[in-house]
Amino acid sequence: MNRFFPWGFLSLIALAFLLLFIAYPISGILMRSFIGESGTFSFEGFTIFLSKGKYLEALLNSIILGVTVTFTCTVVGVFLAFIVARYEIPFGGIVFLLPLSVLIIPELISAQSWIMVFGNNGLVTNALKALGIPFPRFYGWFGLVYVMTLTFYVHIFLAALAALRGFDHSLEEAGLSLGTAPLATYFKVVFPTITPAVLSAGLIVFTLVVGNFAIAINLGQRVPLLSVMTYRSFISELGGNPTMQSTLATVSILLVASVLFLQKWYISKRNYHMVAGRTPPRAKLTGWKSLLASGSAGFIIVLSLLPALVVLVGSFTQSRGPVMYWGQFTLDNYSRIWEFNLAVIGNSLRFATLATVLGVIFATLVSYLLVKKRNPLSATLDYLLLLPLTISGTVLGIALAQGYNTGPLVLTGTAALMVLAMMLRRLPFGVRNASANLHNISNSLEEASVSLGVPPVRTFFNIVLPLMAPGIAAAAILTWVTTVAELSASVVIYQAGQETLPIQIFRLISSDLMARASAFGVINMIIILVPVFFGIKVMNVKLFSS
Amino acid sequence: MKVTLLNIAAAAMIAFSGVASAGEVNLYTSNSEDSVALALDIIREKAPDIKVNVIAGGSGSLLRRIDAEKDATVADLFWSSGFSTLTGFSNLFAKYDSPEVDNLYPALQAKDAPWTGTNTHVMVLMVNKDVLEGDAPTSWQDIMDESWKGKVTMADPANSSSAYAQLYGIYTLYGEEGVQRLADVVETQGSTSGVYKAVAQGEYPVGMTMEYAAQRYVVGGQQEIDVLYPEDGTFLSPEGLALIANGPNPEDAKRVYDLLLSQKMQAALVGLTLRRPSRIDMDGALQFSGLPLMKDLKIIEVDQGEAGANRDMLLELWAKARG
Repeated sequence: MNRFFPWGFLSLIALAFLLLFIAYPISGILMRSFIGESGTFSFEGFTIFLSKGKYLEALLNSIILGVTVTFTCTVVGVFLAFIVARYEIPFGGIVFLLPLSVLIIPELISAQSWIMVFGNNGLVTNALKALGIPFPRFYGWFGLVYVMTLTFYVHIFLAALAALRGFDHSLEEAGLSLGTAPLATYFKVVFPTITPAVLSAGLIVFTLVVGNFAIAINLGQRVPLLSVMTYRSFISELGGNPTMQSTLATVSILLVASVLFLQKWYISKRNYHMVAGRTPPRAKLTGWKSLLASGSAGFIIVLSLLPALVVLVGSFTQSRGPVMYWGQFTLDNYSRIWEFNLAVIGNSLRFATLATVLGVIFATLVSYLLVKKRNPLSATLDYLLLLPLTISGTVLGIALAQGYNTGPLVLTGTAALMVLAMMLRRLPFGVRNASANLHNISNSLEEASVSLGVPPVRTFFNIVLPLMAPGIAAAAILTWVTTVAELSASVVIYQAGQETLPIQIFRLISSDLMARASAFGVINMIIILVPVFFGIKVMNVKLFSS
Repeated sequence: MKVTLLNIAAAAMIAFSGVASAGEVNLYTSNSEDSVALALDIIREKAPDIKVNVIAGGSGSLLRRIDAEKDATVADLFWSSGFSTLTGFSNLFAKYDSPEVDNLYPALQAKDAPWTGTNTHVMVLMVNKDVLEGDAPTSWQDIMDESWKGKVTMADPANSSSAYAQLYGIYTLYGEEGVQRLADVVETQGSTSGVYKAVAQGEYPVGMTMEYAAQRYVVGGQQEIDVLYPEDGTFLSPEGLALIANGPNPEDAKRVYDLLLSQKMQAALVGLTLRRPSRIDMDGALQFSGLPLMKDLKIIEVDQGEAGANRDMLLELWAKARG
């Protein structure tokens, strides 16, 4: 049998694709940051970055914000996970909606809705103003930390919950029986063992915060941040400086990469293995303790889901220009979309469908190659697949737009580039989802089929693919959800006529037309929600099997 | 890919609806969808025999596209963009002396250029009374005083063409010293929209912005917002419409050109967008929209060509003044 066809050949194609669309654009960015205005090698970009206060300030602010939000998310996420894992609370069922809230409420919409609540002319702000109570300024550090915490804590909640459930209760009992007080036991035994899981999630939160664009640009007007500055350097009305764009992008890549490295190093030094843990029983709380636990957990949950409701109400609210008239309802915001903007919905559906289909096919193939058909190329593939994790959407967008605006393959300005950007951002996660149950599929099944004379490709389709199906379905749904909500990469590369729902929402928020933005927000959430609902209810897909 | 698809679509539209007698005009426009819809309604009413095909997009990308299509021009009209932007694409346009030009303000007639002013931005001070301590400023001179340090915001002139128009106006009025004084007090926003949003949200008591953007809040009913037309004079930043050279339907395009400059059209558009029309006979419409009359504004003459030519020099001066 040919040793190269088909798997070696397919590995080569996958490798070529990743080199072309991930390695090449990113290395282009890194290289261009060392090319000065004259076109020769220079440290001009970095000299400017280090000598001008505004760049260093932005870098410092981004780090401070990243650390702060990671910390607040850890506090909120671990607290909630602890209550859910250890105590019986009245609405335990709703808690499982929480991870979904992150999926169906894109960060752009959560920023938008909190502005409608606490911003100037916001619901709460106006209500308090009517009572004569001034509301503190929401734009700036307070708003940034608040909205980002509520948007990102779920990542830590999920990780902590999984770790707490896997925790072997006898360890805790051992601590207690040796005379350690309950609280001290938590700190000495329980928390250290869930730390690696929480740290991994914390790293994700940190990268999300540092790369975040949608919330940062809407709430951080007085707080210069690296992500916003990178975007502005590229989008400037009057043409920017490519050296500076690349330098800013390079700095943010370096920032995330170094944190990634730190985390790997930390985790490598700590290793806990749970031996078939006995899940601790859930305690029943009574009296004020029950009230406190369920009350605070309920409060967090309500706050997490509130944005969807606010946007829904906002979309039916009367407005005159930028001024909203809460309490007066209208269908105008929707009829305008029906009249003028159906193309935007079409774009979103078309781009996301293409990106999802391509992304899932690629993820399925690559995960199969990586898990079952390892060859000399596999290690390189593994590393290349990590690369998209180190770059924010904005940087990916700039890398693609700069990398493909000249040369033999010109893609800048085409819809193909939009689809590509959406697909690439989700690829590492897609591969992880698709390979989820691949490890459990025995090689002998495949070997049996091949030895009975079925060619390897048909064996793959007949035997392996059906077994991979649940993982693939989860990958498809999650890819769909993220591509429909994708803003930070596509907003850098879109051309007139290629506006997607998030881009349109972003533009309307920029012009301060919140009511119209809300109607698009609701449509965006519906488009996200339908496949998720269908997958979970009808096809029984497990999205969060951890 | 997108461009070709649109071209095919445009070509198909033209081919399929092409009964010889029914006129066609291909309008490339950067105006908002609702402005375009309103304009089409009026064109349909006044010239029912003309069918207008709309290609919408950002002005920069549309102009570059017209340039790219030069060998087989599809566009008949471009509506609209700032005079300074149009200057960079002069060779795409054909001069047309519309009979309506005499009804426009002289500064907006652009008689020497192959375009005509349709409307103009007016640079104003937008004030949020809720966060204003003390009296509101009444002039550019006022906000350049040290006591306003940190309380006034404008967009970054290097990123925003309207902010550049403001800076150039200040330079015209108060010279290099004025630029320095402005640089000392003002805080900049990354984008044009950042300014009016920041003031509406109460981030800053005063912002330098465009009339229409600020008036949207007043007309919308946000009571703490005021729009001030500085006493030492305001600056215009006109926008224009142009006939495309070698367009497929020049005669019908000229009729649409006249209609876009007509009184009915401009009255309707100012009501919708609050962008100040270029015609002189608009007092009624202005009053109805809640905008002050042109004769009540003190306008500082700014040569748009010179403003463009001095761009690099002034931005460098600005960067130095900002330190």
